[in-house]
Amino acid sequence: MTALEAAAALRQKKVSSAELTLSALAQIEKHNGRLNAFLTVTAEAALEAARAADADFAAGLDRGPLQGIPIAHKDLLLTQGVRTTGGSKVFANYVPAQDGTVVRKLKEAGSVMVGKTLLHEHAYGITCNNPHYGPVRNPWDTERIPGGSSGGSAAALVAGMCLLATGTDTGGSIRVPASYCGVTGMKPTYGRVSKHGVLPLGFSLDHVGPMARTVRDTAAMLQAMAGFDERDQTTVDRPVPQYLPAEGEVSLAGLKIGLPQNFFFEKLDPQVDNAVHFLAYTAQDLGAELVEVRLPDGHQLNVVSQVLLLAEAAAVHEPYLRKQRAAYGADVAALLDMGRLIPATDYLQADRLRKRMLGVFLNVLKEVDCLLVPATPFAAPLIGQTEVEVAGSLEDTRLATTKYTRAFSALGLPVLSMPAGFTKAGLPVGCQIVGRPWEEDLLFKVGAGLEDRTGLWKRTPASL
Amino acid sequence: MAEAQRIELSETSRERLEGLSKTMLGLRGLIDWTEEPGRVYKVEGPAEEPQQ
Repeated sequence: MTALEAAAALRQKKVSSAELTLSALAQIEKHNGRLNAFLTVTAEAALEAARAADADFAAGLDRGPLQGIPIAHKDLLLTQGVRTTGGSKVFANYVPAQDGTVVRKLKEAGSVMVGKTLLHEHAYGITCNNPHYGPVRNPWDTERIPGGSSGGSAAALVAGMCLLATGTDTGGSIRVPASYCGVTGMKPTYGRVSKHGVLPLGFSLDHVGPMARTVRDTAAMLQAMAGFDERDQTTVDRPVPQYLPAEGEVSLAGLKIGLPQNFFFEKLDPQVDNAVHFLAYTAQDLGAELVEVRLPDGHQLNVVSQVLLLAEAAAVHEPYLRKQRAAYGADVAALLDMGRLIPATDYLQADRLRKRMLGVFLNVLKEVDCLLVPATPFAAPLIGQTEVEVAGSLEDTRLATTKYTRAFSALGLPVLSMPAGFTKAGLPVGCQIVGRPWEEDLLFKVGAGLEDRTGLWKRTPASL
Repeated sequence: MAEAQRIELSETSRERLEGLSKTMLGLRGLIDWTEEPGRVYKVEGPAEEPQQ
């Protein structure tokens, strides 16, 4: 059942929020021992909130489509009275006094928090092989990673442990797990969703976004999350449009979708290439025009993005790393050490280059309405796998995994990540639909059209 | 610099940093050096949209 189907059932009195919440908690009980998607489960508070949602329905109070829907929050988002670890030992006992803005807004929309999902330590990595709390496992194959850093959220959605989940994305942390687990996620435009009350990693790169099984659920969730927040100076005060696409078949007539001829379709698993091109032809079938485009060098942009993140993360973690070095896992500590050695001149020139490259991307996005590219170059690697063979050469798993996602965090462009297909081994692979700033609504429209036609989200792992 | 900060890098980290440094050096060729420095490095206001 999708969140919007559940919302309709709630209003038709076919189900109660308490029943939906009990069902989610039962799935957590059944699968979390194997998947390790949740770090904290708030069963008692969830049932109390569900009963309150049911009472609101009975009193005629309707807060919108999220009312009574079970939701999980990435354990990077501050939750009042519920510990927020950041997947780390440093914050292992941190219990915030207040909710962050996004948690508060989703609570006000009536959603029911069932718990906090595990992530890569400090959200600084894509494996979710957490040295302190154990690995999160991919529901499609538990020997494989779910992607990260929002891997717990993605795995929880696949396993029906919640109907909605929050994620954060600094270099691909929503889109990579969405791709590896076969769910949908939106990295909104930088400034669209408040980061207040979210443990930071890279302050000019961090984004908060929605994750769900379907495009329409993701759109409904962003509707509740988006907007200016005076407590986050990077948010922008501009109207939030209607994100949820209209019911019925979506026409993409009149839309131009760009397919890059460089970088994004080079050195990737042919199965991913085929899946994304299949979606492109599906879009064409729905009326869109496919246009070949050339983009700035992806390798160069990735270097710029890495320099920015290494330096910013090192600056953020400096006080903790000095005092509690032993509390950091080896991979994160190594990245933070590297960040301390990035010259200030390189950081400043990287910021300058980012702005220049954004200008080139925006020029391309004047010619087309959006871009369609793979999310990851291959399906989920095995837990502990440090290298992946791609097109005949061995590549570092972490760097190769983020090579198609990293740039869009640095550029701040909105990106919808959604399932594109499955490999012969039955593993999901995802695509990214990239748009102009503030045009998330257009991306949801394209995504809904593709999703309605392919129905890929309906597949679930046999083991579940 | 690593020595001054008492940082011991692994061979992999050292090689990656060197690679980033070399690429950043090359990328300086893309910078428009005639840009006004004050404009490039201005402190951005809270409600500014991404540069068009």
